[in-house]
Amino acid sequence: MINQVITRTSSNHQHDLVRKFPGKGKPAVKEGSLVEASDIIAHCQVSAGQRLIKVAHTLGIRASSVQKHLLRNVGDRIYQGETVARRRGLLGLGKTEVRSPADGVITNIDPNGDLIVKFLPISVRLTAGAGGKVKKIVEDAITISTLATEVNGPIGSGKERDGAIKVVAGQTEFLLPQHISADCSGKIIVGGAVLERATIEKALTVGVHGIVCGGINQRDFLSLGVSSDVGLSVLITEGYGNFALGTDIYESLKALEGRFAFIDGERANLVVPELNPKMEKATEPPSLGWRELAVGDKVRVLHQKKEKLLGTVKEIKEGQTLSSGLVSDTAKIDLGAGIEVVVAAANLQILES
Amino acid sequence: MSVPKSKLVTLEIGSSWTRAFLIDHEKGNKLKIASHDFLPTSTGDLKFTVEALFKKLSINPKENTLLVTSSLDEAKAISDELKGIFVPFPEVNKNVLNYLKVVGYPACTLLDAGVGLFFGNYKASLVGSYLTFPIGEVELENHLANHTLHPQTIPETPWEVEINEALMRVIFAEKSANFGAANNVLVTGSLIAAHPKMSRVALVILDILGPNTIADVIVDKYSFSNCWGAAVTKYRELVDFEIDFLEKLGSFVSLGGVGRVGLDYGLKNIQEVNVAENEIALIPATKEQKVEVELGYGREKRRFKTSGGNLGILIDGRLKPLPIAFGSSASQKAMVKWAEAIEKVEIIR
Repeated sequence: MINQVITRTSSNHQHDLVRKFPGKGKPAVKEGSLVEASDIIAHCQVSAGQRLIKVAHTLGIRASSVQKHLLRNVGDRIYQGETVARRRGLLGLGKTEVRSPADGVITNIDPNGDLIVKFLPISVRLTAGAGGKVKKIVEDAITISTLATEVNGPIGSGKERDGAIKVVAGQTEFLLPQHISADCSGKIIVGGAVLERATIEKALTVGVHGIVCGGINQRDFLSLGVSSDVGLSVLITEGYGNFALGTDIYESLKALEGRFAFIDGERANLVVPELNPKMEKATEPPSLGWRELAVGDKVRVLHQKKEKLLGTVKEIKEGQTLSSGLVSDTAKIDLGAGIEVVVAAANLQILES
Repeated sequence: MSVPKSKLVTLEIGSSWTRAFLIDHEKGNKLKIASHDFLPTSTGDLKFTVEALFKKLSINPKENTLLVTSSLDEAKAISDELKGIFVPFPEVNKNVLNYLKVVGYPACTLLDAGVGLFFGNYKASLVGSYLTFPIGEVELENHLANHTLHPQTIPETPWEVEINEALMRVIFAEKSANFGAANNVLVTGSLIAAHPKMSRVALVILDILGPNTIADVIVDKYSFSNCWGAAVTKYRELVDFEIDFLEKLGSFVSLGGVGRVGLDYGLKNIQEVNVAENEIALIPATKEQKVEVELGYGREKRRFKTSGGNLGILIDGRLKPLPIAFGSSASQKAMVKWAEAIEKVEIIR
């Protein structure tokens, strides 16, 4: 039987980390320069968009009267907290004021009496995020060649985000809203066998950047939107349903707790770059694709309702009748702790690390 | 093109499985499938599976005429590299139907039980209504969705086979909604070729037949029809050749409730079969046995020419659509009862 060769977790492999500019950017490094994780590699200007300030509504006046209550004019720069419009009460007693919610420029007054304020771009200093060598600089990104630990799964959602790794639950637990506290904000949280909608909602409220979990119910995954981004990124390592987070991935991420990582839901992977990589220690990436299954192969069992899904092939037999009545090549798998199972050889993935 | 002079190797590169057949000349206008096998399609490197199959079947593509069919864009490049003849899928389908017409099944409906079923648009609760065991809707959704992640997985337990059968019913029902009073049906695909019990496949088809419908049902024993379609597309004269890959299961009659069927074997009397509500009557009749089936009463009476098959003539007295619901224990019991009834035909098979 031929089987797909995959890598679930790998470390010390050369990895090209692509640091995309969050807005218009100006590189602060040159190709070939060596960088550390905390080095600033680009200065970017992130557009903050525009917003309506409801002047007529707040002051209780007609739209046509807004102009005479404004303290600033169209084209003026305004600052957060600055009073932009004021209405005095009868006989000059009492006053109602409208303040700017952020720094910006008044660009227009619309027919409803709302001020249109374009916020000033925010300056963002993009850090390298990984130690290594600047390999390539293009208009909107810088590629850094580094060493990294990589975790891959079959399911993911959301754009690339970053944050420190925080293990919040065990491998077999339900990942519950209670596992997420305020200190998970901006982090990539790890743990659990099933990620439910309520937990995703809590994570969004807290400001979690990413979640790595063993399983997710398909309906909850679909609620994230197939090709959209809900505001956090998700990496599911095992499949749809309730699956203990694989020991290989769990132990690997536990050892990397606190480290800065990048989670990319669209590519269904997580990358933890080395802070001070010794490039000479880089190992060859595993050869993926397909190959003939062999005794001694490390494998992952697909679709078995077992806590343990990872094991080693002990024996392969051709043309065996399964309990379903189908005839197939089978493999005896040692799952460790004295547990052995016989499964259809087609239901295995060969693991390389 | 006429008939190939060398042996013919046909290759179907599916999105999940790849199948290879070595076709040889037996005698006269008779061909035989000398050997065949299938392996998971090595997505990203299609050539790997193709070469593994050739090795397994000891096929040297250079010594044979190679025909390749696939809906995958990359497959044509593999075909070109192996100096094969690539036949696009739409042509294959058209010529499979032409071949079926020649062998006595005109206007045949193809029901494809390939892994593609899992990628269809369906409600898990509808699939679950055909199951004999309790399962939560979320669990069933997850099970079906995992198949889309790993389409090459094969069912290891009887309940997984049952879920596949239930899914076939839901997807096939979309086609059977357009069935006329009399139909020819070919059931093909990897889920059928690997199926351990043809009686269960028969029940799938019987379940989706509407009231007062008759269907002559054939199955593709090796999931060979696409490969054969490719062969008859390139070598038109092969249409007149015999090759053993179709199994006539029988003639399936769905009454939609209690009723009577007259079977005319060409003898003096018409055999009357009275079917009780919820009964599935099994009438042994070989595929050579010509029968005229009489349905209905008085002016409504209609006659259909048909024949038996390996399972004979099945007369279904169940209400249609089947009165079943997801999660209902009564439905689960009914499905068990019907499965037990139909499995009796395995004895006469």
